[in-house]
Amino acid sequence: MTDVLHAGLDLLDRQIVDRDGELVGKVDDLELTDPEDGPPRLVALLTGAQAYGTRLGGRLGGWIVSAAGRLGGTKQPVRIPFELVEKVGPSIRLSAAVSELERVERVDHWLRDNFIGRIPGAGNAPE
Amino acid sequence: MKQILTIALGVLTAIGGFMDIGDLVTDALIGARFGLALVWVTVVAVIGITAYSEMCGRVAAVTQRTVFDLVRERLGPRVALFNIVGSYMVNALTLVAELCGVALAFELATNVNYMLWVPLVAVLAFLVVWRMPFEIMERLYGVLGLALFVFVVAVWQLGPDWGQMAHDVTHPTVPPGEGTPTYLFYALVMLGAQMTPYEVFFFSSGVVEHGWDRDKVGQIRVNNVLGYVIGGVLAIGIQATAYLVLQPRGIQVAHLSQTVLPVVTAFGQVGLALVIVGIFAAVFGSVLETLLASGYTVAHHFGWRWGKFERPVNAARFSTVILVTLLGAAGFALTTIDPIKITIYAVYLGVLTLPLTWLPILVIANDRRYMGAEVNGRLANAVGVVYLVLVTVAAVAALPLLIATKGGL
Amino acid sequence: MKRLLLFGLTAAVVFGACVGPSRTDRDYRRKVANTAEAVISAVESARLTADLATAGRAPAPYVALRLSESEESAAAVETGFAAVQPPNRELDDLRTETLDAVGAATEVLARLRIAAYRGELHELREIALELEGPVGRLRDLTKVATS
Repeated sequence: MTDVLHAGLDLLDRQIVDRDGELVGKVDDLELTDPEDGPPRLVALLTGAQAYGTRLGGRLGGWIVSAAGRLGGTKQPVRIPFELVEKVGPSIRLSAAVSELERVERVDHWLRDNFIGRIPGAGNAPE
Repeated sequence: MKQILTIALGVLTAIGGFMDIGDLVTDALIGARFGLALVWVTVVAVIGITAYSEMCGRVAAVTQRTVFDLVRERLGPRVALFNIVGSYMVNALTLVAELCGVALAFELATNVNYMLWVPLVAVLAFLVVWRMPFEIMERLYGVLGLALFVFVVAVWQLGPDWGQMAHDVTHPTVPPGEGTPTYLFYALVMLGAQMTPYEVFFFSSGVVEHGWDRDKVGQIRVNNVLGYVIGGVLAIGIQATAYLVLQPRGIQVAHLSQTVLPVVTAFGQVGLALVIVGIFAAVFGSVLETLLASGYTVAHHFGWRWGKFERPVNAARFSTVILVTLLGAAGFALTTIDPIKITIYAVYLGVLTLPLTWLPILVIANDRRYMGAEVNGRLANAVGVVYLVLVTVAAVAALPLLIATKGGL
Repeated sequence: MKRLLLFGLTAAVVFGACVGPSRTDRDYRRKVANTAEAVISAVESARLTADLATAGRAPAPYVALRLSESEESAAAVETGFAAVQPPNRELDDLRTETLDAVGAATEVLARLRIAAYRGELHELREIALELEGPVGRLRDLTKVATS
């Protein structure tokens, strides 16, 4: 990845997929460091409701961050360290599997365990 | 031979999805009130939806990205959020109308009040989306939906004056007693009925889910053109039957039972049976499509796992959105709201969501970094730009026109 | 500024009062015409259905459904129109005339619905003949807004 990436155009709002092609989420925001010497460096991709809310900004964004904070237990966004990014293209491919990522898919699992999973037939594929 | 079969099946699916309660009601209502004076709008709309559906399909095949995924990437999260909230709400309203439509088909057959059928239809929809193999369903409602062509055959049976009809189609005039604003209002209704937003999301999702890629672009094109043209013929057929049977008698369409009167006039009980089967199949198909589209709208924006072939537990957020939407829509349908009015409003408001949904598609379809060799040609761009301008003008005019005509009174 | 506003308001009220009666007169006539059109729609649907039923071309559940919908539509229009206040005494006669025609139509529509629910499909065309009179009067009433 030695080509120049324009963070706004090439990364933000792209789909993140894991090693096996499973959907992980969207690049809702980016984490940058701001060292005294040199330009800001990209450290991590941020995804999930907290990151999305921060990115939206305004009152609606703030509301989303608080709601996500209450439901998820923390207002900190879900981080995917940039080292895990293998390829940048129409989607961002990671070198890890989604199960290896921290805190990703917690909402999905919660819904699965407490709601969807309790409805008969949910574990079977429609085809 | 296999190629022809595949194409035929694809076309069937396109038609089955194309015909929904919105088309049925608006074509009959407009035919009864304006005769053939808005057929030209049907033609205009078919060209537009074919162009954008093809573009969406091509973009999805080449980039493996769906409409709302791309909308967010191109317009940014704030504008995209505004777009999907609007699209989701219009889609949900459409779902209410479609649920009522299937229930009304049951009522036509049995004279048991449609509201008693709404819960049954919702349960059926849930079962199909949850468990049943979707491809079989698509083929089934595509084939059975063809029974609606009894409308087209009825035009012949009613023995019209073809010369007069040809004249009325090519010389559209506002009928005496109707104002020009009302005519324009119904032109927008017609536009919205033929260019329904959910078809496009559903189609692009389907392309990605079936794993169609660059090689299938030609087939996508054929499916689209054939499907929408044939669907357009059906739409014009419905308008023509209303023009021949309802308009001369001064019958206005306020109930589904009136839309089928011309078919009963032409073919009696057999005609009625066919048309009820057709309505049931086509509208139930649309229930499934709008229901899934509501999930796609949200899931594609946020990057969640989605898919009609997925186990519900594997895509819990997507499945939750679908379930909640279904329950909400069924509940709303049970509040005794007039289903015909809901249908007209859903169709009309759909026009408002088109500009922001189509713009990113047009932009991406022109971007060589995404599309490579399959980038838009001059024809696709010419048609695309013209129609984008058209739907933007329509969207801007929609609310003032709604107020000025008091909802098309 | 305040005086200008007051002047404008007074002018509007005075002007409105001058234009008023004839404008409401026209609105009421249009209401009569719309009412007549709506009832004609219900009546003609019923007549067509009755013909099809007697000819054996339509099944009983559909016929019963269609006729009861026609009756409900016409009755709703009738109630809605009866509730509207005629703007002046000159229009009272028009109101009575309209309600007479509409009432005659809804009465026959009710009888059609009753017969349909009893399964007497073959009788329907004959009953529907009684709609000729009211329909004629209603068609005349559709023209009152343009006279």
